Amino acid sequence: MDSRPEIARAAAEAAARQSYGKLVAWLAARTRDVTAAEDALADAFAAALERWPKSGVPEKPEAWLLAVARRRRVDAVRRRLTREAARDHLKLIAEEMEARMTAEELPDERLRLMFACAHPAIEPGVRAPLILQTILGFDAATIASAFLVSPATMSQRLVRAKARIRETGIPFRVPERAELGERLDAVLEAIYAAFAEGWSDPAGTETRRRNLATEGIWLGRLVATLMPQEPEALGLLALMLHAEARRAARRNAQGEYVPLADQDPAAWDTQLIEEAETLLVRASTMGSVGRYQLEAAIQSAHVVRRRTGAADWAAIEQLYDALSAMTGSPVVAINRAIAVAETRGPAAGLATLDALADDARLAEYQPYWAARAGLLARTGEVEGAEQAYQRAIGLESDPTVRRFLEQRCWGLRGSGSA
Amino acid sequence: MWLAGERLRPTQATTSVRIADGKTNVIDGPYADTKEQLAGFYTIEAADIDTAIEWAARCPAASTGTVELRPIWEMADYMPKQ
Repeated sequence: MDSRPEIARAAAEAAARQSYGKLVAWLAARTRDVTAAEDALADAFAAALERWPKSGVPEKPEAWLLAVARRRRVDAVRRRLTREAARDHLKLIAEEMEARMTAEELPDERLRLMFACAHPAIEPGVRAPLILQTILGFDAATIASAFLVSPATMSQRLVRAKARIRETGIPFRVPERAELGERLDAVLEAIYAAFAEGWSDPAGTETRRRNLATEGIWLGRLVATLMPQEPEALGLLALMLHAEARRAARRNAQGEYVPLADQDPAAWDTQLIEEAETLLVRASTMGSVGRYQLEAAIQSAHVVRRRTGAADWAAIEQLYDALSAMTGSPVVAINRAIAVAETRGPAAGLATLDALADDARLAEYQPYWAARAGLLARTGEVEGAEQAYQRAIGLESDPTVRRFLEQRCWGLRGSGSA
Repeated sequence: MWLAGERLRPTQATTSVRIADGKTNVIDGPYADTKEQLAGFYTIEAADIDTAIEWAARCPAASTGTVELRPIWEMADYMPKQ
């Protein structure tokens, strides 16, 4: 019963964020002053978030926001509270935009704003928060709680980053072909960081973080729509949709953690998987493979289990080979070892894992020890498996995952040695 | 006899450029190693930071050390807004 108003509210909020982001991007692209653009629209955006869920989304949402922004400004001038830059911005809107807004759609410059937010001269850690704030209008406190830092710290970092955009002269443009690859990577990485922050919550108890995954997908859709010829943009969206499709299956009815291999395919979201597969096929026709397409293809090879009853481990091993060559990441190498254990047996998987043992970064990395423990158990080395599980348990901070590892460890003595 | 002088924007507006393996690396801040010294400067005019990065990358010093980009306060920054 009560899900209907909830859906209407979410739709109104999405529309408000869409229009707000378009207006901020349009203004900021002309002045490089993101803060002033946000200031000019803040009141109108707050009014839209409050009113649209009740009244419905107006026919011309951008024009509505603009009209309210201008009316509020008049009030503010009376109180002598308006900021100079915000006033300049509203004048700009009035002069340049009103005539054309009656007839046509506002040009969508959000992509240019995203490229400015993910510019190499902006600190990598603040790029995702900056995109969430400028494109979607989230306040610093909400973003701070999702990224687990204090609101004051997040607010300060966002203010600094916006000052940098203005003072260092970061351009609002989609880069030229020659540098597009690298710069697009930065945008996609920021979006994936937002998604991953929301995804790394196996307990599923934190609504704000779950919402962050939804916003990551929303941004991924936006980039994929605005750059439909970029296979990596499609690849990232496919990857996020695959992960999202399995969100519910990560926990059983008792709220316990369920690893991918033990998940019931019936609990996966078929619609999201189908959408991801379509995107991946489209990306693969564009003739340029990248990190996100490979990762999405690995997800795809896992979920064939819903039709064939088994994951395509040979394909998974090959894809991890390619990904490993591309990234040199020890995390990828661990997953490759797990795939090798499936294609050539646990001993071969263990040997692959042994070759990584010198990498100091892995000593503190839970999945390395969990993978090691699992493979040792399968080769009958109960004692070594127990020690590895203990290391993994000690490194894991999430209580549900820790409980899962403890159960596996206890299970070693019970039925293991056979 | 006064020759030249400019007021630099604060270090928060600084960007560093370095060339490694033929690739331009952009770092979001000043060059931190305090044992190093400022060895010289160029004043250029550029439309945006991307153009400035391009010029910095062409500077031989970017291959052996680091080129810092420091925006200056222009006269227009002191003028009251219309």
